[in-house]
Amino acid sequence: MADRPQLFEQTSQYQHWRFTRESLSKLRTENNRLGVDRVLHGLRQEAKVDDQETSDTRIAEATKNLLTPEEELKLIDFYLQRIKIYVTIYRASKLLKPDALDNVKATAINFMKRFYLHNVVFDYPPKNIMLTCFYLATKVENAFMKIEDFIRPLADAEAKRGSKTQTKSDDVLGLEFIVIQSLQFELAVHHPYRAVYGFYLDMQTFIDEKDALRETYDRTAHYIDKSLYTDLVFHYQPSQIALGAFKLAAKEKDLDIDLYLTQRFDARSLELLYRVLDEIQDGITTFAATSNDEAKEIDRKLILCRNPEKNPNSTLYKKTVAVQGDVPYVSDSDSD
Amino acid sequence: MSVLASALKQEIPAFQADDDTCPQCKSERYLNRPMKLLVGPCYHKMCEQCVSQRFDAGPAPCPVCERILRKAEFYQQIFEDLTVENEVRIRKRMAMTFNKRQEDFKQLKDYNDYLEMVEDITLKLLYDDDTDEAEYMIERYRRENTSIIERNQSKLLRDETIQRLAFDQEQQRKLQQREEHLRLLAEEQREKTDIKNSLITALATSNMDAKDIVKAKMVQLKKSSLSARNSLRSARFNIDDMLADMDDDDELDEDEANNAPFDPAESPYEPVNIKLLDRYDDPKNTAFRQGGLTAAGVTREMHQRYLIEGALAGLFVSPLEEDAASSEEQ
Amino acid sequence: MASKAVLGEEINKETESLYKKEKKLGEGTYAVVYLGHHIRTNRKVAIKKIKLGNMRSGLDMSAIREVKALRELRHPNVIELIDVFSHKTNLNLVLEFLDTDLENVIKDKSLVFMPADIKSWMMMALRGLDHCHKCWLLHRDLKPNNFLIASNGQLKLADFGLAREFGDVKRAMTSQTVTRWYRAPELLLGATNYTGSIDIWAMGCIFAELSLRAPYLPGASDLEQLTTIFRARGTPTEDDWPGMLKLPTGYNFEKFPKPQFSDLFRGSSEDAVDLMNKMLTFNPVQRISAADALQHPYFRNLPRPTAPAKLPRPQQNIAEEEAEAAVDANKKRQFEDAFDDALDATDAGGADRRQIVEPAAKRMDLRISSPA
Repeated sequence: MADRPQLFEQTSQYQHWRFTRESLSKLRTENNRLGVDRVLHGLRQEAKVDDQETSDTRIAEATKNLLTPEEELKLIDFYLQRIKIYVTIYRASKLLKPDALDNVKATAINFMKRFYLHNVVFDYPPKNIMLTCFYLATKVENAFMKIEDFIRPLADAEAKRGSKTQTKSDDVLGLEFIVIQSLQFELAVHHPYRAVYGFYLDMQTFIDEKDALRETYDRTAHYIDKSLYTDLVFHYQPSQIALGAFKLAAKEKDLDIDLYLTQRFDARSLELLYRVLDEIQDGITTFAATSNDEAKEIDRKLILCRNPEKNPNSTLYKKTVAVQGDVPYVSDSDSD
Repeated sequence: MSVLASALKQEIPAFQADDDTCPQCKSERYLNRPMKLLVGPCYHKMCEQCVSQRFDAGPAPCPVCERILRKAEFYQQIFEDLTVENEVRIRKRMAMTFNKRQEDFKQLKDYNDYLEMVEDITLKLLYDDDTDEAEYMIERYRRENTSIIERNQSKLLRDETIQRLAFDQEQQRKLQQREEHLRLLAEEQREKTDIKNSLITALATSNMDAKDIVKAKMVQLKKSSLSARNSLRSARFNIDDMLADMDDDDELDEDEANNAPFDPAESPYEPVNIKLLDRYDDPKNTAFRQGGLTAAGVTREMHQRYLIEGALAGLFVSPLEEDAASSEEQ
Repeated sequence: MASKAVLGEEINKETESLYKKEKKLGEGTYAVVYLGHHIRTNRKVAIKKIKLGNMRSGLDMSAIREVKALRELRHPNVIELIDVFSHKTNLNLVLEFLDTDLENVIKDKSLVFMPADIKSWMMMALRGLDHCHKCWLLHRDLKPNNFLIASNGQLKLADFGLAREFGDVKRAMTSQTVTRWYRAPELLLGATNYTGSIDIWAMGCIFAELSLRAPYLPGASDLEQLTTIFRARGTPTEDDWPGMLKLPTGYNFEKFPKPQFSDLFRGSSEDAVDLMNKMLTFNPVQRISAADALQHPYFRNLPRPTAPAKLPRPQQNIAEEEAEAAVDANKKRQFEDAFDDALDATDAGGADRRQIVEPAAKRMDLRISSPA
């Protein structure tokens, strides 16, 4: 046992973003409960500035369609999956270099998952948050592009679809602050990519079948990708997840990596490691993505129970803005 | 620095000669300016490195006379004459225990007797004559007079405090004087400009001859308080003196820092040591083919180290357990 | 905090409420710096408020780099990022308060440097840098005014606005980085992937600057910087630096001979010049690393590096009342300590380590970083 801490122990990911399954679940349940309270409170506020009948209907509809924590999670997951699509859009338009893709994607997904540990979809629907998380991820992962460049492919795609909505710069930038606040300004996220490449090299000390090893390594990408959508990142270390992915890929390719593990590491460490690897493999294989239909249904419900206080399209919001004269994007140098 | 200040700070420079040489390791001051020669109780000298080398592990014999010494017994030499050095040390030590004052005695004769007794013991120590007996007497006196010793020590402290306060008050006074001085200067300036302005106005508006106007002004001036102040100023406040007195020296204990063992690469974190293979199979990595990477310092080895470190970091961290979660604080 | 069901906005508000701004210390185009304190512990802090009108694409890259890097680093020789909060559309970094920097120290002609002082600064700087490199982070903007100095003399790396991870050879990086005089030759030759050796080159320049009390390689323009370097260090050959010509803007340069370094660095010891040369080696692969530099005999040889608290510091402005009061209080404490010393000194031999807490220097020219 070392007296001094290891370098990775100083990272924000290790210090602040690890949870037990129970505490994660408790957090989401509690968030949801408080979120529901806020929705109802917001609706009541809106009732004061809107006509009676509309408000009554609205409140009734909302109460019937309040999302459960599980439904919230499913919806978030759906939009997490869509990040993959956006990655291809940006790769196609050459705005994102191929070597940056994995990191941007993984960081964006991680940001969005973390965001919803301190927020609810009632206040901030995932459709909007996803884009901001993505844009923020490009900055954090050294793949910056100007906001105009970021918007263009989106606008093009919308035009092609004949979509009524048009994503504007403010839609993305306007949420940057709430996103980064919810992340508590902790931006460095470590992914399994580096570790899995490292294992590919390190395994060569004890594994001779070069071709099989290479093929296995190539296949790990598939499993790592799947792991990104699970909660595994909140329970395990990136290196552990990488090894778990390696085990799954090795099973497919008929490669025995226990040969490496048992020679490389001592028995006591392996005891813990094997247990962890089992849990990780389990987490990856049992993950079920939200289907289109499920998402549509939940989205439909969300429209009815969004918190008017935070919805720029609600009567309440518009009235409040008119009264306060709150302009969303001002840079003040000396106001304090 | 004033005598008072230095006495209060107990600051006395160490004695050094330009041609000092450590008799043990032979290093010379000429080649090593900051070398410190320390002196032991047996008068034998050694540079601090040698002292460290020899006595870090515990008491050891002096290389010259083989008397058993401890590291703590070595001091920097203050006086050129080692006998003086020795005497000063001994007397300082005695003064800690034998600190009675005249007012502690009813009769002057008793005080003188006391002083004689102290001197007797001191001489024993100085001339290395019957030191055991001397030590015994010191110890006995100490045991018999514990409360008086303590009381006098705190008296000394209090006197020091009073002196310090007086010193500080003096500083304050000087500060105020200086401020007053500056204020007077400023006022003077103002008066001068006023006079100049009124002179100009008078010259512009009056019909009199310019010469007469000026003369009249001069007479006026002489009578004014301005001249009075000028003479006062001749009793100059020496600002430099005041600033010098407010000088702030921090003389810390160097020995402590220098004698401690130290590691330049000290780090609060556990070091990482990975042994790499000579070569790795990595056909998909084409980055190193052109040679531009190595020219910029990016080697395969560095890249491999980066990757493998990543693979091993946190590999054996156990996931949080339920109990840990409940005690987790913000 | 992470496991409590608190809204993101509320966490932010709560963080903001913990700190109180006192007065402005300095201002630049990029940020304003305030002196402040934690309302409960009274700890002195510097609050760097980053203005966000500058970048039309929202949160500015420099701010993101700095927050990202500092949040992950904890080391005695790296500035501590205590907290972050955003107020309206500003980003506020709560940093530990450091009242001066190495540039001020070098420029203050009333200060005399002993070799032991230079060694102490170099050691602290290299420790901080070594830590960053161990975390696979490049600083990319090392220069004297990015080394801040605390009141207890500890030197700390600051301004991570250009910092970036390295190690992944596939990611391209910009070669337009580091302030010109401290920029490594591989950057000047357009390298798009590099390592910690660029920071070490900068350290070598700073080492030289501390010894000379003047910048060592002050090129007048980006183009001239290489010539300046070659003139001072000799033009490297393909043997000295294999692959030099493979770098993007490598071409055949005017050939200058290698001078005798000991001539210029007459005041420095042999081991110092040796370390300096190792840091200013052309070939980045052979250039010494931060870890190896700390193992160089220079640091183990005498003189010992000066204890940080005793290092020279720029003068205070005597006319300030506040400083006076602090100084007087401090001196009272020193007198007391001195007396205690006298009591203990004779037998114990090892007096307690004195930590003189220096009053805040009044010259508050805290440097504000501006993106390169």
